[in-house]
Amino acid sequence: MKEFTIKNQKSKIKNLLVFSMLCFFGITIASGQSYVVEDFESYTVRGQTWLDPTTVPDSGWTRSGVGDADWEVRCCSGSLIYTPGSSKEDDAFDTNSVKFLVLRRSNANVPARSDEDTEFTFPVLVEGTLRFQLNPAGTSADPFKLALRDSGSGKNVMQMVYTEDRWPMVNSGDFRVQDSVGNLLISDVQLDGRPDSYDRWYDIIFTMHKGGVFDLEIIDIGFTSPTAISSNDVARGTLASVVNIPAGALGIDTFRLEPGTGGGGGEQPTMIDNLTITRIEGSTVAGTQTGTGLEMPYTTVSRSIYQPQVTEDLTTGIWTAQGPPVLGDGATKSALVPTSGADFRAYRVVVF
Amino acid sequence: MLKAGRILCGSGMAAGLSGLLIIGPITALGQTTVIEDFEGFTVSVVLDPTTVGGSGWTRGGADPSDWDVICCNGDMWSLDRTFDGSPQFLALRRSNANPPSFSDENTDFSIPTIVQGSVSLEVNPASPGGAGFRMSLHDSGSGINAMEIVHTESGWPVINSGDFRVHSETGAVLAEGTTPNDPNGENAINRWFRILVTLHGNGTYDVHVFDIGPAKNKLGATLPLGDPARGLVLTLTGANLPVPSVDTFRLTTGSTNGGGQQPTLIDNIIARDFFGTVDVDDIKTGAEISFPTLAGGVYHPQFSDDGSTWSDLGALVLGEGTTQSVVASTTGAPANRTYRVLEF
Repeated sequence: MKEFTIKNQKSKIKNLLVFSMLCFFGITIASGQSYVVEDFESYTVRGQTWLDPTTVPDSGWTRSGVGDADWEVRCCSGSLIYTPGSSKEDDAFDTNSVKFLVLRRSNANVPARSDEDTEFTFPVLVEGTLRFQLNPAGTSADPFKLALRDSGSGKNVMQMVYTEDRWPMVNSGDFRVQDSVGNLLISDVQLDGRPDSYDRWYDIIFTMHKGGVFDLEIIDIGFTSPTAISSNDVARGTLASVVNIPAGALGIDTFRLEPGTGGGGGEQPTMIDNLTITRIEGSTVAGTQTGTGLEMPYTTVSRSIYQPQVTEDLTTGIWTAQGPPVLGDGATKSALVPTSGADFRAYRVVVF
Repeated sequence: MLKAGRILCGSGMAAGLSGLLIIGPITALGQTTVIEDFEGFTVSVVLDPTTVGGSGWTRGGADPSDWDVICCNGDMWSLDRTFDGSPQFLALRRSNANPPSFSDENTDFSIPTIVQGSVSLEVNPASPGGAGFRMSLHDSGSGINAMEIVHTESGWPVINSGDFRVHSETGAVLAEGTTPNDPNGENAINRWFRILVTLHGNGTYDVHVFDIGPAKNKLGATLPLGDPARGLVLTLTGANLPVPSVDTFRLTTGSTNGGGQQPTLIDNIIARDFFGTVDVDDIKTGAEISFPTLAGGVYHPQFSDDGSTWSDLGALVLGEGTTQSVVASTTGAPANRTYRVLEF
C-alpha cells in the first residue's frame, strides 16, 4: 500500500522510499486531498510463488478465516500461474507492473470457491473516488464478489458481482450491482466475442459524494494480455454507469472481497490491480472541546438485546434511548454516555 | 410450553457520581416473564399447541391448525434448524402441500398484560411470495391489534428480497426495513431475525428487527455463503400505541403458504411486563468530545496518542446544526491522548 498525502499548493515529491513490503510516498501537491494506492508492486514475493497480503503488517489487508488465503499477491505477470509458460495466462493490464492480486481458490485448490471475507481498509472516504482494475475469472458462478462498506454502521453501501452463468444470459459476462437496500442498479450483459468477456480488463470507478450518495461506472478497457487469443475487439468503453445513488451511509472505509461460489479459473483466475483511492481530507473543526463522559461496561448474553437509556427526571418514569439497541454476543459491551448539559442524569442498561 | 417466572423479591444497585445515577438490576413484586421456547411440548411428529391444556395457545378456527410445534430440528416439515440449536419450534403448517395455502385464523398466545415492557421472538420467515409472516400484539379488552409486523419478499421496495414492514392498527405503513438478497441470489428469507417490540408505558412503542444470521439446514450446516449477522434492519421508535396495554401475541391471518419444506419458523418468544436492567460492571469516566456542527455536514472524531498518527473514533456523524458530542472510552488510554474532529 502506498499513501500519498497532499498538502499546501505546490507540487513536489517529498519522499520516495521503497520498503521491502510496502511503501509510503509523501507528495505535496494540493490542499486537502490524499491518495491511497495499492498496486501490489511493493510486496516481496519470492521464488515465483505468491504472498498472502494479510500476513504483512500494516498492509491494510485482513481476512476473516484461518485456512489458506483466498486472495494472494502474485509475481510476475503471467509467468507463475499454475502452468508456467502457458499461453493461456493473463498479464496485468499495465504491463510495466508485474504484480497483482489473484483469487487463489480455483479448480485446482479445494475448496473451489472463496470461503472468507478478505478486506482492505483505508481512511474513511466521504468525498472522493475509489478505482480499481479487474479481470474476472472465466469459470461459472461468481468469481468476483465485492462489497464497499462502512465499518461504523456495518452497512454495505454497494455490492457487485461478476458472473458468466446467470442474469440474464448464460455464458456471457455480466456485472450485477445492487445498492445498500438491495435495489438492482446494474445488470449488464457483456457479450462474448473474441476473446470471451471474462478475458478482458475492466476499470471500476466508484465516486462518493458528500451527503451520502455515490456514482459508479464500469468501463471495458481492453482484452487481456498476453493472450493466445487474437482479437480486434479493443476497449469497448463504458458498459454501465449510475449516478446519485443513496449510499445508506456517509462514507466507506472497507473494500471487501466476499466469498463467492466461483472458482478462480485455474490458469486464469480473477485478477485485481491498481486499487486507487483519492479522497478529500477533512479539516479540523474549531471549537472542539473535550469533557468527561461515562463508560458503563456490561456483560452480554448471546442473542439478548441491550438498550442503554437515560433520564433527567426519575419521577417521570420516562427513559430515553441512548444510541441504538445492541445485540448481545457474549462479550462485554460499553455504553458511552455524555454527562454535559444537565444537572442530573440517571443511566441504565435495559435487557430484552 | 408456557413458562412463567414471577419475581417475588427484589434487589437493586445504584451508584451515584456527582449528580449522575447508574441504575443496576432492579426487580419488584409482580414482575412476570413468559418464555415460550416450545421445548416443553411432547411432539412425535407435529402438534397443534392449542390442543394442549394450559399451554397458553388458542386459535380462532376449527379446521386443521395453521401453526404447529415441530420436532426435531429439520427432520419434519422443515429443512431448516432453529437458530439456537434447540430441537423444537413453531412452524407455519399451511404450505403448498396443505390447502388452504395461507393461514386462515388467528393463532394466539397469552402473555402478561403489558403496559410497560417488551415482547421479542426469533423468526425465520418463509420464502414464497406474499407475506410469509404476520404477527401483532393484541389487546383482548378492546379487540384491537396494536400494530402488525409483516415479512414479505414480494414488494416494498425490492421484489424478491426480504422486507419487514410495520403497520399501524389502521393499516398505515409506519416503517420498512429491507434485508437484501445477496447479488448472487442468496435469499434474505434463508435467515433468522429477532423482533423486539418495546412498550414504554407512556402511550408509545418501538419496534426493532435484528438480522441475527443465516439459517442452517437439517444437517446443521449454514446454508451456502450466507452473510453473518447483519444487525439492525428495521427501526421504529415513538409510534403511537392505540391501546392502553396488550395481553396477546397474535399470529394474524394471511401468512402465505409455509414454503413447503422451508416454512416460516418461530422460536423463543419472550414477554415481560417490566424492563429488566443489567449490572454495570465497572463505571469509568470517559472522554466527551463536543463540537459545533453545520446541518448536513459530515464529521469524524479521531484520537491520537502521539500527536501525529490519528485513529478513527467511532462512526461518522451527520451534523444537525447544533453542538454535538461523542463519548470515547479512555480505558487503557495514555494520559496525553488528544482528540480532534474532522469536518468534511
